[in-house]
Amino acid sequence: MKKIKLIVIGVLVSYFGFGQDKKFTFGVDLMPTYSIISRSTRSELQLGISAYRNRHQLRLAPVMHLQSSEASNNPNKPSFSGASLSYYYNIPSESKWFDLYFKYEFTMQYYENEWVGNFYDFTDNQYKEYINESNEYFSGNSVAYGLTLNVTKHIYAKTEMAAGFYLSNITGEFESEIRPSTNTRIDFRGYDANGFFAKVSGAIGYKF
Amino acid sequence: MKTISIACKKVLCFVGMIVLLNNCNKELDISSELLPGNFETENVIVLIIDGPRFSETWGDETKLLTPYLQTNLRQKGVVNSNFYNFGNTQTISGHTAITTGVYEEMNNNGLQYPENPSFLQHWLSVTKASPNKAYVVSSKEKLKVLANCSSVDWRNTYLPSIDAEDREDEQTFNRVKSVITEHHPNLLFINLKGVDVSGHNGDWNGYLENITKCDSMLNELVQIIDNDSIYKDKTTLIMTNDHGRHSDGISDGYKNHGDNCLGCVHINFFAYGPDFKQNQVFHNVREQLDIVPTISHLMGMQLNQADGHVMHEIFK
Repeated sequence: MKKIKLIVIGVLVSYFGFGQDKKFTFGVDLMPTYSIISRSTRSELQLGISAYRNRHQLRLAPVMHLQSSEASNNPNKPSFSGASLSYYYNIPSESKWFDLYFKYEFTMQYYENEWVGNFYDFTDNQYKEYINESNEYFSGNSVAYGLTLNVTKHIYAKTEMAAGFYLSNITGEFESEIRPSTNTRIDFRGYDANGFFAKVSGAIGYKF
Repeated sequence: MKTISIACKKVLCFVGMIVLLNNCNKELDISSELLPGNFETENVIVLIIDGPRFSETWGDETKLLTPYLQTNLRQKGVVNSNFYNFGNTQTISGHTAITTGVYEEMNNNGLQYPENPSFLQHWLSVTKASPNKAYVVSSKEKLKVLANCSSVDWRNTYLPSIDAEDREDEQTFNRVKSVITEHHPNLLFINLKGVDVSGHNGDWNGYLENITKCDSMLNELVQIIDNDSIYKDKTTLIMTNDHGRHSDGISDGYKNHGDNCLGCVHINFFAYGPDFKQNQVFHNVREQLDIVPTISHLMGMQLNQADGHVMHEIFK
């Protein structure tokens, strides 16, 4: 862990460090993403702010959750879910129209969802539904390979595909008054506590 | 520009593949009611004897270890001598292949639900019957995962009753008898662990004794069905295994399992019921995935998730 921190600091100092005479440039972008996590899918939107120096780009973006196949409540309701920190290594091509890049991204997110389950009420002899709210802490590390289309000197479009590893933790509590008896076993995780995920993204951006 | 075109095509291809995969994940629909069938079966009992090798059970040339299966039971029902687990030969993966009809690499510590719902969940969702009518009774606590699944559409809905504790098979079998007496479940799924535990302990004699003990319990279960006014002539019994054990000379032999050696994948299949033939031994290749389609066929359910095929040859 200490080694990783030293490497990260080294990279930051060498490319964004003080005392360099080369200039930084900055930019903003809008990046929709689509992730597949086990059997679930998520669509999100990132509003990124980037600092550029030579081939290197550091980007910070809040993440807006747009849609999820997981939650039974308002799965399409946008909500702020966390932040993303990315490092890009841009590879200029011979053409002025496009460049390629590699990217590493770290995201930290928090989700609140509601779920519907059912249980058998032995008094009324029928199944009844209940609602459970789950709270999830989700972090992802991914690497991506992408293409930048330089529409003008300042405006660009990006597209990329990524694969990564996630860690997740879910806690839950009953929301509805109707609930199953305590000996009924329930679990709201839609995927494992950790695993691999895939993501495709596109973006439009402006470089100042 | 040519490079851009190629890159764009690759990206579009990747996105298309992901959309396709995502759509595939949603094929978990079932019919909303039981289909009318021409079968006598109203109840199905599945008995899993955990982890014996074929060579010490049906494949035992002396026929001394499974005397009931080798004599009167085989006359009452059907045996398939070429039955396999072609998936992961661990306990939980072997069980979920039998309950869901899909091979899946499962965490073997009971920390992961199968992705697909079991035939018990399907049946409860169609019939809206009490959970007591679809029961899982197990000698291994970790098999509680058989009662639920991780599919978003099915999670925590129509859960069967579960009685799974780490205990001796005799205790589990007593629980089976109590459950039958009290509830007469239409679907009953049983696990007996003694054979597997003795094998892992390296206790060869215990391993053989447990095989004989399970054979005796299988026979007793048939007698219970035959002597029960509700179950008699309306109940199908299927006995199989979740996995075998390593062949001699592979790894540590009978003490473990988990690869695809013949000892691990070759397992038993015995079935007895009002809709099945009697006194017949089949040698065609069948596998665990064929059990769910066969049960669904008997019970009038339509399960599109299962990868196997109905074992038509065993029907009358």
